[in-house]
Amino acid sequence: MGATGTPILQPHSLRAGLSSVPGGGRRRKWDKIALLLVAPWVLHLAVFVLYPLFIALYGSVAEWDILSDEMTFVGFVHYRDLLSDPDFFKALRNSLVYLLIQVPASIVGGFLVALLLNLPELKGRFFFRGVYFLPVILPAVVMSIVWQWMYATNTGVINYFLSFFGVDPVPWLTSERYSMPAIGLMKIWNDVGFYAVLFLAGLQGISSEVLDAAKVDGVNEWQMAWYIKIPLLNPVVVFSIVMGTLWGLNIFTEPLLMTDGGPRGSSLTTLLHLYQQGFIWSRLGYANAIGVTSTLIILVLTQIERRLLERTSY
Amino acid sequence: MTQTRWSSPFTRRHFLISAGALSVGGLLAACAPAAAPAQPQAASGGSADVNWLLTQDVAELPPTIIRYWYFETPERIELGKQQEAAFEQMYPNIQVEGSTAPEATDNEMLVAFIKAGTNSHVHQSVNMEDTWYFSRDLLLPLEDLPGFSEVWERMNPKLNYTWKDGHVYSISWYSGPMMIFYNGQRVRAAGLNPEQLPETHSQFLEWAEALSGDGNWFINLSPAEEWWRWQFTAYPFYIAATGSNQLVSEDGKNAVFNTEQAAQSYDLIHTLFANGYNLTEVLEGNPFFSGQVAANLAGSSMLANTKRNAPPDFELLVGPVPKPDDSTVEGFPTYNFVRNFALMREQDKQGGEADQVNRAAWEFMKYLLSPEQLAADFAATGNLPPTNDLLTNPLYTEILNGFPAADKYATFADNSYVYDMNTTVGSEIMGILTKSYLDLIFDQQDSVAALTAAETAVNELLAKS
Repeated sequence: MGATGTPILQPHSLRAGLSSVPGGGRRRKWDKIALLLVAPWVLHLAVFVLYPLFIALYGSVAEWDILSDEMTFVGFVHYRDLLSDPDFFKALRNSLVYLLIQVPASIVGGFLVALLLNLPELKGRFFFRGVYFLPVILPAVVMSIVWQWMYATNTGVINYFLSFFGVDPVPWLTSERYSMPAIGLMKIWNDVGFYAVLFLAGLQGISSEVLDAAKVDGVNEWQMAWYIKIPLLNPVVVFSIVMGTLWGLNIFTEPLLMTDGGPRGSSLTTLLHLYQQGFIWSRLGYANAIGVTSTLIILVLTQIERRLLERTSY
Repeated sequence: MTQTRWSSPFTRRHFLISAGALSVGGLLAACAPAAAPAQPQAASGGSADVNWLLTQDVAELPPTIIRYWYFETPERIELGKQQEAAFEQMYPNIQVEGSTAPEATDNEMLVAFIKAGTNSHVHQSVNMEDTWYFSRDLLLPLEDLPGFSEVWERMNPKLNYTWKDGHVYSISWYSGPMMIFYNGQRVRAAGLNPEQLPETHSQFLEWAEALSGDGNWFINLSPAEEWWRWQFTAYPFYIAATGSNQLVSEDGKNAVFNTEQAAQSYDLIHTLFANGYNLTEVLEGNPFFSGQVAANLAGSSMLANTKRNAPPDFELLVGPVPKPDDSTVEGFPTYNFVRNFALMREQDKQGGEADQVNRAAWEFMKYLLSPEQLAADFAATGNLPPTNDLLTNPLYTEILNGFPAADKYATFADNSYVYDMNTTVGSEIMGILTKSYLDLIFDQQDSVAALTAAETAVNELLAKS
């Protein structure tokens, strides 16, 4: 019985009800078609999401020999090992440092570029939109190799330009101090265009009536950006931060190619650590434990970000 | 009737139940233990009384396909194609499916290829990786296969091993003793005597000082992170200082590398980095041939590389890996990087069919290890054939004499050691030692602390394994 005492419609009575109304037979036919249409996606979900998820979860509490496919349940041994693994905490710290450098700078940079590209008086703004987006479509491998050359201590173009300002050669990728910030810097360059496009779409979605009203009220450009545009761009900001966090904590290709996590693990990230443990040392159970823990950390962080930043009223 | 069937529609509930059942079935199937790896059969196959694995004449084999990966250099890939064609001509019943080895297949990504059944049957391995494979029953013991003794007796016993269980799992294919090579022009320009190359740590550092500065460096030991780096950076200095390749006690229970002599070799390496004698990044081109780096710790491939790629007037000098000033070690021992051939068991086929493939692969492996093919590989790559008659067989000496500085190199090469084979966790130990080396060169720990930390980690690893 429902809360109001009305009988809750059971599935079979729902079917009976539908067949009794005009067009009920057509509805059933459409149900079948709908199920058929959804089936590939459900199958995809089961095979490529749920199954790997289950394997990852079970694998993290098992000893897994990939050659024999034998999984032996060992309990939470891998999680206990994780807590005493200095490399995991180093990787986590590096990932967070990267996150703190890369995500805010990319988003703020993207927003500023979007403001610029949104100026109607800017000549060639369509051309610049393309130019800023170019790094986004560049393959990570190509980008990593090119930046590796640019970062070279003795022959790199970056140190060459810095030398004009009297700066001694900086060992960008060969010192523990600079390796992670250097990768972060490259990724800022890479991601600014992406966030710029997001913010540009958001800015163009703001009603001109709101902006005109603000102008009538006498707000200047700065006030317009701070009090009008940014609050109205809240969904874009939240999306950018959440996705930036997700991507930031999953960074892999660039440190693998540029530093292999070095020097001395200074650019080791959680995903790189997972890869090394799983595929170099064949510790698949332990690698799964790293993966599950990292996923939980990402989930918690992104949820906190959403709770803190998401606004439902303005 | 038809209408009755349709009146029982495939509902959303049915669909979800079916999808759930499929998922659960899939999960159970995936979690079920797989079939045990194929074991060679004593007597089986197409004919019940034929033991294909031990058959003497492979010409009698039914048509068989084996896989082979060419590896590492363009020269070796080209040679591999020629070898494949020549072998197929000798044995038309055996087809060699040759292909260039995918990237990063030393052992890290190889598992995926083994699982997929696409790996090379004749696998190019190294000692410390052999242990990983045979402890997972992936390698076929070789000692009972037809013609084994003929091959085994030609090989230098110092460069080969028989495992503790009495089996031979691999045979050395080429060797590369690590030496210090010098750029003769740089040496002369600095007023140093090319006839008296450094033999002790203090002499080495004197040369380092004289040959560094003004955008040039003395040497370029790699500061990279890969787990296997230690054998190409610190191990030669370790062996030169200690006179031994031993890292683990013979019973495989304890680390034995934390010694005063080992610390001396670490001190030398630390000084090279701390004083800026060592180039710490990869430069475009070859900094050794261009003169930016005066010395290079390298193996025998340097001989062919110099012949092919160095400027015409380049003068290659070869010297020993230096040892501590007060060393009592005789001569100048060094590390010898040896690449082996191992036979990866056929995984997909079973019984006699698997035996046919394994036997055909063994025949191809013997062919690759024949004197003529070892000589061809030597000519193509400069890597030394690991045979007893390297310095007496004209097949090899003619090639050797065609390389710069080869005679001197060959004399040092005799006093060289392969990787310590006292445990099955050699790769993991190498990873720990590489970390200790990184701690040293990045000034996190001094030589004693770095070796002690590595010793503790290795002992923990050995206790677990």
